[in-house]
Amino acid sequence: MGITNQPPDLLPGTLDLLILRTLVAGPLHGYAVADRLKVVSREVLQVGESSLYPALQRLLLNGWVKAEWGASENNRRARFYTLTAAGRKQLAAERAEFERLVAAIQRVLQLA
Amino acid sequence: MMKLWRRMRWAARHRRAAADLAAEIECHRAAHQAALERNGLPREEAGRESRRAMGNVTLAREDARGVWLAPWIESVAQDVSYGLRLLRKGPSFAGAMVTVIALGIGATTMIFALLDALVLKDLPVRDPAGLVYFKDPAFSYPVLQQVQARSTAVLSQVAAWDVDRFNVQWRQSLEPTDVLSATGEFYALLGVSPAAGRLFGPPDDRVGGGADGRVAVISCEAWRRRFDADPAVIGHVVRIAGEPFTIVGVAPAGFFGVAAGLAPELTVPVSVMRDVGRLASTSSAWLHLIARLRSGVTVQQANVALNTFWPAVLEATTNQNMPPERRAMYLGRKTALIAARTGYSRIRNQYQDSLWMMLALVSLLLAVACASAANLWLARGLARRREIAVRFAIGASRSRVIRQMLTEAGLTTAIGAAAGVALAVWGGSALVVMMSTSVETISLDLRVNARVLAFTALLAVLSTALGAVAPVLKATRLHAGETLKQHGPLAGALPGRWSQGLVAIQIALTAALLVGAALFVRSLDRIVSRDAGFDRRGVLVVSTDAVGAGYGAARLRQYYDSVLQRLLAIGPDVESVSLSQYPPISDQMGSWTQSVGVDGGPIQMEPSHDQSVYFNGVSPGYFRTIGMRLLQGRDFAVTDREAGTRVVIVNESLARFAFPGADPIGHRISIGRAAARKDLEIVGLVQDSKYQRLQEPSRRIAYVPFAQVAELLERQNLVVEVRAGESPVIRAAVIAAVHEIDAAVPVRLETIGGRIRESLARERVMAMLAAALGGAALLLACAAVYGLLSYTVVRRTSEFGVRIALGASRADVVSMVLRGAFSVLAVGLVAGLLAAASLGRFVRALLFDLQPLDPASFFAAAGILITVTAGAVILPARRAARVDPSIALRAE
Repeated sequence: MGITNQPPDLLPGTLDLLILRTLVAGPLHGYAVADRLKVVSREVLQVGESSLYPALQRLLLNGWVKAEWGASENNRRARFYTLTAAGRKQLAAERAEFERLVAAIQRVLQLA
Repeated sequence: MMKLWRRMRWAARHRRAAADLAAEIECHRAAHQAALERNGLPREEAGRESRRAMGNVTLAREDARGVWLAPWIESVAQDVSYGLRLLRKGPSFAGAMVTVIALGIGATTMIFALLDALVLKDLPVRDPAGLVYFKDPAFSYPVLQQVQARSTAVLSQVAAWDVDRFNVQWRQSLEPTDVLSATGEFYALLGVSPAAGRLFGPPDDRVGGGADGRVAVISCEAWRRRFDADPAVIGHVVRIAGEPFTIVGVAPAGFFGVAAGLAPELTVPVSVMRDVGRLASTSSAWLHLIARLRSGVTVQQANVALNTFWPAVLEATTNQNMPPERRAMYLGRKTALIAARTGYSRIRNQYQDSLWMMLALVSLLLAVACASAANLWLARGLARRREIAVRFAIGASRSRVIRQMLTEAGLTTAIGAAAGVALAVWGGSALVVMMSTSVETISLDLRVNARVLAFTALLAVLSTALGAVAPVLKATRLHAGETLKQHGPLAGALPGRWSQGLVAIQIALTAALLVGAALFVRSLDRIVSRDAGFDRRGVLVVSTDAVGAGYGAARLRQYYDSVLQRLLAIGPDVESVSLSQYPPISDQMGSWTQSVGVDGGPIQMEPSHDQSVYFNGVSPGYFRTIGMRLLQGRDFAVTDREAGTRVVIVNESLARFAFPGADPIGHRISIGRAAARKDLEIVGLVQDSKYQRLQEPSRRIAYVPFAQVAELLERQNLVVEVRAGESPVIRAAVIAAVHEIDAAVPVRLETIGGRIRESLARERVMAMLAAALGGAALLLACAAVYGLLSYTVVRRTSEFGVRIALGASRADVVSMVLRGAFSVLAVGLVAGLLAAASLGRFVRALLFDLQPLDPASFFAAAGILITVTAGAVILPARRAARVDPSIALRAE
């Protein structure tokens, strides 16, 4: 899953939204985020680290997540990302916006 | 805002962040490998596959970093390089700008660096905040012992010190050297540790010396300069005032005791340096006291405690034989503890007010410089209207253009500030040299430190804000389309009220500065032109240190007698010679004051020092030698010996005070009490003269012949006055003559004029500095006036052409230009003079015999300003007069 494996049809901005969503259940490290996205989307969404890590940094910069070092399940040092209050708010807003957009697209597809 | 903060925090620890990111990505790969292994791939293959799957790791890292960095670093770098290119393209603008800023910031930084070194810098000792000193300059040694015994509840340690100049025999030369005498607790109290060898402690501070004998500690700077930092200095013997001292250690670099501004080269224990009599005396106050607070004790608490035990200290140190009034006066002495984190310093007390005042004056210059810079930026903005318009037209945002121009301004200011710091260091050292006198070498560490740099940076930011922000905002407030449609480089750019306002502000600030300068110069002039009461020229003052060279009592008299004879033998050029205890203008050599009784009456205690009688011991011929007029009676004669009638010569003020309206000759004054009482018969009356310095009011002075006060002068050096002109030949002859008697006795030669100059070092430094600041401001203001008018003339050339073509005379055109200039000048001048008048009260304390509203100073300032700026006005006005209508119109 190198750079080219990034799903070409991922709408701009949706990666941030998806990452935020995976963190709702609790703190995850980078690999776990990618893994969760892959599993939950039944391997449709495969996020490479070349977009995952810049995205995580972006979220950090915006203050939507915070990062802490901890031990991973197989006892390696890993950085865990936690959703912040601002992040939850952002998630809700983006999610609403995204659903509005998808609904609009579907209406067009069905009725136009 | 939060985002900016997070960016900055990230940037501050970006190394850590980069490492974190690398670790994180490696962790990601390892997790992937583990997953592949779980799926049954052999370990090595899993490792290879996981690395392959990661793709371009470096790029991923760069991208992640870029999230934090890209948007601002890149554009700042772009702005800086663009700014540099513009400055290179317009070197005259850049040069003018940098000069103006360097002048303003340099002068301000210079004064601040002096203040920092003298007033603000903490002592280089352990926990300087815990130090206190005892107010009121000096105390006797018994007071120190009493304080040490009684203050233990609040003070953990108390030490005493004193800096004095002695002749020190170094390896090659005998030199007058500042020596710090300190009690044994000194170093332990301050908590300093030696650079080499050891420092001394209480066991060394015993009369005659401790286990290692008479020990001394050398300052690190003296160790480097005189011994090339040779470790063999330990054990080296130097002679201080003739007595041998063994150097046992080197003080840490930069440590010179607790007196800011002085840099004594040697430190010795007080009890070894001073004789027992001086240590035991309760009447001579010569030690400064410094102490360390017990931890947890505040200065206030310590002062409360001090107030309870201080009376007991005084009570224990009074002499029971003291007359009751004097005893009462002694018991009434007050003191207080003052935080001493920056040490104690007489030089600081002498200069700090002046330096704060200078900082105020210099900030006026900085303001003038900022106004100059602002004007330059205004002109720059106008010249770049087209370029700015083009940038807008192709889509640059206004904030982007503003940011670019401000970067350029910041850049010039930074270059100017750097040049200013260099200027400050250079000028500061020159000032310190001017402040020093031959008796007191002021030494300040003016190396640029963090606080000075922070101050300079603040000035740079401030001057950018004051000088550039408004002009840049104004320059970018334009309509791209309209601007591009206009023709010519200056088309549509009006000279504007802004420029005029700025020039008026500069004139006002300059006027205020010039008034300040005129006040200080006139104040100095007032002092210098006072009647000293003796000749200032033609008299040499010879100071010898015979006591330091080992002469005592009888031999000392003999020595001076032979010096006088030898000097007279030089030839007819030497008109007369004399001896005195204090030279004319005794300045830092101090004074001898006594209370007197009149015609057998009781001794009258004077409420203040200034009103008691000043004494000087002199030889026959003293008045003739220094050129003082004897008004009545006779001079001392060789026949006024110890055995004969005790005689005295008084000055007019004393005669007026003691015998109002009567002839003083034949009356008596008395000094001393009970058995020690002496009646002195007045045999002469001399004119009033200055005793210690020119500024003093007329003092009551009595002169007594040496021969009759020998007991007072047994162990004291005398001063020789020689009336022989001041030519180099005679100077050399005088020094040779004194050396002929005993080459081991150090000699110093001064003139009375020289003594006066040195006693006025502070006033002169102030006057010179103020004048220099005024001159610099004047220069900037002139340049501004010239710039404004030239610009106006260029802008209006075609208008003038039309007017002349339509019949206006050249005089009309010139008067139009002058009218514009005149209003700006008049507004600025009046505002400046008013400001100076309202700020005058702040300089009152620094002026001698001069009101801050001194009309002459105001006239002088206005006159100078008008004359000089007139020069700046005439050139552009003449250019306006020479406008050729045909050329002017064709240019349109």
